[in-house]
Amino acid sequence: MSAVCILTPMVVASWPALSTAVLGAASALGFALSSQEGAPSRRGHAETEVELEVPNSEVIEDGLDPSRTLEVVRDGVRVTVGVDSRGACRVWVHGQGRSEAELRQVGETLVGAIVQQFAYHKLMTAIKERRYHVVEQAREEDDTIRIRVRL
Amino acid sequence: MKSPEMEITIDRNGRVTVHIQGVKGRACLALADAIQAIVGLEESRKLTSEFYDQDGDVRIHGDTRSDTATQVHARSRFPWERS
Repeated sequence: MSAVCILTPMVVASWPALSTAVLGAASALGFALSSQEGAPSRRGHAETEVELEVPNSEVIEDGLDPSRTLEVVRDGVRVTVGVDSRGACRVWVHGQGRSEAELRQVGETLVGAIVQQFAYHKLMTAIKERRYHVVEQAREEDDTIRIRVRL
Repeated sequence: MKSPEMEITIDRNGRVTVHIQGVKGRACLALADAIQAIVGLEESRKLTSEFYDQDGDVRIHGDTRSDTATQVHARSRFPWERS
């Protein structure tokens, strides 16, 4: 072995690239895209709401509508992903009859999956550009993605 | 020597761990730097013994104490390795 590095991804991307990661992560967790894509998040009557930030995130301005959002749903839980005034990516989790703790757990799982998807795509793009050979890749039981690359 | 390989793991929260194997010295450093530039913030980096083969560069300082015991401190030229 030569080196071991531990890194935290910086999720810096344009909205289209970020929304690809969001949709990939949401789909893997069993969420479906809501028909309300592009509409601003609205808290429904008697809904509990939890707000989370995607850590180390920045959505690069591309001249599009700043109120752009993406909404996914699963088992009565609605998750809206959008951009705050600082340009950071935020997630709002809404659910009727659900506790804050439950919604927070759903949100944190989705946020983790978004960061994982983003990091995976960035690394795979770089591996292909450098013409490295992917010997093996797999998703483990704890949802860790493992990739072995020959240089 | 093992063929040059990387094992990358991305956990469920997106944290990336990269194991670079079979790459020595400065080439290993350059590869680690490149991966950091791609992914983002580096939490830690540990260079293993293979790094110091051939292309590696290690300075050794020797101190002689009054009780004649000798302490040898291996000091890496890389700042992040100094405690």
